[in-house]
Amino acid sequence: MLSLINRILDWFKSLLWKEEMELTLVGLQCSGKTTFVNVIASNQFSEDMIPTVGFNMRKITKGNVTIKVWDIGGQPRFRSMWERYCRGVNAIVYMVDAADNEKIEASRNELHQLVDKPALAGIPILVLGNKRDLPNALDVKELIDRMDLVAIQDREICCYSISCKQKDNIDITLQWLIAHSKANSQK
Amino acid sequence: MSQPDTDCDKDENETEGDESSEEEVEPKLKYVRMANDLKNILFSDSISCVAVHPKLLVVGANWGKIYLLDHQGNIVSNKALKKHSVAVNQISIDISGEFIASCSDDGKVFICGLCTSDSNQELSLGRLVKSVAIDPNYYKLGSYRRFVTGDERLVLHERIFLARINSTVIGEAEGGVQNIKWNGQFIAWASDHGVRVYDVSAHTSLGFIKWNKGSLSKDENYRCNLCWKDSNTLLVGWIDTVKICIIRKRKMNEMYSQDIPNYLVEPVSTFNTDFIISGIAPYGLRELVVLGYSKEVDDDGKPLRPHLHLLEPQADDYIDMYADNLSLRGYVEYAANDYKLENLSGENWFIIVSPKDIIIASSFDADERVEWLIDHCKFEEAMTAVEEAGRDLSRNSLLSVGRKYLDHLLFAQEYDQAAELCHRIFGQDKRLWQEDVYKFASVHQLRAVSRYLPLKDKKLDPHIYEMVLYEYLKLDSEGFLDIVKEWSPDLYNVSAVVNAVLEHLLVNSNSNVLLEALAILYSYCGKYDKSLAMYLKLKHKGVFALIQKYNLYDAVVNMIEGLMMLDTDQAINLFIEKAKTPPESVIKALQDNPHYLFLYLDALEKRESKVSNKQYHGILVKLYAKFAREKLLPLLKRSDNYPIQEALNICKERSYYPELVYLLGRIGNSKEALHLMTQQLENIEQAIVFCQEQDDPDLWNDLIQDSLPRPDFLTFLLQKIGTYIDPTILVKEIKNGDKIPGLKNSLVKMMHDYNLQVSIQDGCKKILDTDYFNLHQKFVAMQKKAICVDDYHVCGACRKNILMKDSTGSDNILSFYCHHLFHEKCLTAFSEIEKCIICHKSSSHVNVL
Repeated sequence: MLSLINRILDWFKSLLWKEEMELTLVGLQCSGKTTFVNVIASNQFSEDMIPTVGFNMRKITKGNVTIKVWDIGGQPRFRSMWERYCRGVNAIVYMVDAADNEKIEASRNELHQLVDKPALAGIPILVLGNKRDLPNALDVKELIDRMDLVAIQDREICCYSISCKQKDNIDITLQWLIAHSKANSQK
Repeated sequence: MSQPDTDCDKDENETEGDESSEEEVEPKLKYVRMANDLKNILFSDSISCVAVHPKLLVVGANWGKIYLLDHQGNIVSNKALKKHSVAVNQISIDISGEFIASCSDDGKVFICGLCTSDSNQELSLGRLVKSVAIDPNYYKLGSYRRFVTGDERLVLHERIFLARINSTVIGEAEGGVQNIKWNGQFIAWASDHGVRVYDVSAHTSLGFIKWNKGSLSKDENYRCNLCWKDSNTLLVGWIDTVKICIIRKRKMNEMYSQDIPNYLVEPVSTFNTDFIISGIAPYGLRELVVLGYSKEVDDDGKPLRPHLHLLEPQADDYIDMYADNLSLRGYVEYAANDYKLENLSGENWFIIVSPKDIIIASSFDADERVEWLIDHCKFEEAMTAVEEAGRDLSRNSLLSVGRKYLDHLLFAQEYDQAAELCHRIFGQDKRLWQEDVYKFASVHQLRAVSRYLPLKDKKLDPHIYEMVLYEYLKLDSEGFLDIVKEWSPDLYNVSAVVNAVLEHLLVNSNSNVLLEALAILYSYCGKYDKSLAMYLKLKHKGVFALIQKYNLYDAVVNMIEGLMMLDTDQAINLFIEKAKTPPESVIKALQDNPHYLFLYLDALEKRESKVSNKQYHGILVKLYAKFAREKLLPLLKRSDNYPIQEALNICKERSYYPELVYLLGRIGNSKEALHLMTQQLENIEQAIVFCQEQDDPDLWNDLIQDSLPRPDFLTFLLQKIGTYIDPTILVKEIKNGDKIPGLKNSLVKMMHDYNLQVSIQDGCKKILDTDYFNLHQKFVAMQKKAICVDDYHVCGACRKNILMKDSTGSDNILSFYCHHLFHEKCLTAFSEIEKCIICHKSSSHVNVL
């Protein structure tokens, strides 16, 4: 009986305040996309992840915001699907392994190719430089430079340096995401 | 018509192209066989149904399992989906891709959340549930979590207050519900007899479209294929009939009763196909994609391959625009109902499902279209496609396609076309040109491309131009010359080319074309002397332009005669122009060629008659005498810078009497001149004029003497002479007995002339006399006027005022006609003075006091 009342309360609450957003998480393999989802969903970090095949679909509730995350595999064979999964979402989160100097260039190319797709015009992009806990990881400034983010002019774009392992800057990332939820972005 | 071959053994992701020998139609659709995890699934299981979502693919299998796949066939394994015990009949997915509904002959209906399992439901209906459809907006908070199931009835299930599920029967189906498709507020469903549309929000059925099944359905139960093209257009393909139905709001005049629903279902197009329809979907705005199952069978009685048609529907017919045969795995085993066609609305993306195979068909994007055209050597079309597509291309560009086209053209030996293409794709881009121009070099066809090479702003490396030149040199001398003329010498290293030409000449000597080119090249590199020599050797008139262009007047001196021989007019112009070439040297050079010398000096004389030229008049006289007599006399008259004696000799030698006469007159030998006139020229008129000019009575006498033997001269003289001298002289000279023709008239004229002369003299005398008297009278009158004497007059002798104020010393005043005044006392013995002493100072002997 009590559970029933709780459910009813939840239902009411959800009707009144709940906001929803949908975002797609892309980036090269091993940049930490699935890890990031795990961290923001359940605050759990695990070092050893198996590479995502296809995609993962997660729904995360933070406060009164429900975030639906399409976490897409980053291996080359999945990259052709990125555009499909990015269509119509509230934001694209682009994960970059800031400590992997060799892959930055490939990452930049993939990002710019993605951004050039007409179907994705105007969708805000959040670039996350993950693994800042590692030595020789790029800081935000270097990242903006190396990823040539200045060239992306037609939309809102933001860049943070985070660490999923040490949970650095996860809070500001979440704040940015929540600010771009459906209700907020309509304002 | 193309025949794509989706052979099972082919590479998994290969585009299903084809290699038929016929002229190929550009394909509209490309086919990709789904692979990855699906392969493993199909190894042990087979597909009974699918549901598509823009991001997902849900596959129901014959053993009751439900698989969640991405569009590449990878299993998305983060959720274990509940399993039916027998084959899954239908799966439905909401538009968010979060909830799926499935049904099976086991009587169960599962509603499964892919993100959360909170709202999972499981229904046991205890009947064979043939179809299910979930509310497209199921995911929305505050939705009623609705879904419909179909067995013998169509039942709507919705969650009402306090999480209870309410099930409502909304229709009885004769022979069972075959298919349900939910779109917005409308649910389309098919029973054995026809298609109905139910309006969920109004809780009412909108109408029934009865199906005329014909004879085919007696043998087999064909599935009704439903597809929502958009929010109010329903496509139905059943057996061999296609109906396009529109749901529209009733107009006011159709609302004849309150109970009638607001909406109305109306077929707008109905047509029959000659195949069984296994699936239907919209393509673009107007066309349809229909999965067709052939009514015929092959020789062994086995079914044929299914085919995908692109149709343009008409009101009661259709146009078959394009069709592909599909080689789905195991097609020989399957019936029409085993195939399914699903699509993603808004995208031309289709999934063709057979129990053991899934093929994805999608329309070609700009890149793929271009690549297909390239693969089929339709380069021109590919180029056009590239230009049309513009930014939509990611893999291809005008350049990349153009390069392939270029290789193709070069291979096909269409060099001119290839060269033109270069111009089109490279424009003025230096780098691109440099990369590709070698392709022409390797086939020795640089000549073709030479016209298109950028020559102005963006120059290529010199060696490219040199390569072109070398090729021309080897293969086309004329072309080499043209290109040398056309190209600016700073495009290439001139001296290198010169050396190449020289080497070439060693082998193929005496090619005039090459020598000319060499001359031009020499001029480019500043070796004008060589260049000029070359031109002269060739006897080429370009030499003049060269001299003018580079101001080579100094060099001209050495080749004056050669130039003259080449083109006299131009050469003379050149020598005279700007007076750059000293006439002395020209004259010296032309010494042996009097005609050229004449032409030159003549031109020089015409051009300017300054003093500087006059020194050559001596030579000119000789030359004129030889080549242009008509100019000789004017020169003789005009100039005085020639040795007269020499001229005289020349004229004598050549018996140029008029000139001789002039010269003789000039040196004062008028006698001889006159003699020549009368004797040689027999020109009495000129002789008279001559005598008149000289005005020498002796000369007249000579003339008369000379004329005496010639009566005709005498006649003339008699006529003319009266005006000039006393005709009596002439008359006296005429001897008695001489016959003079026209004497009377001549004499009359002579007398008349003479008379005239006398009367003129008389007239003049009279005029003079009259003038004299008139003037004298005037003078006297003047002198008679009164003389005023006032203070201003002074005495002509003492220089004092003539009027003295004090009357004591007043004196008499003397006045002359000349108005000079004097005091009486100042002029002593004035009575003796006859004239004014001022006017006659010199002669005066008067003493002045």
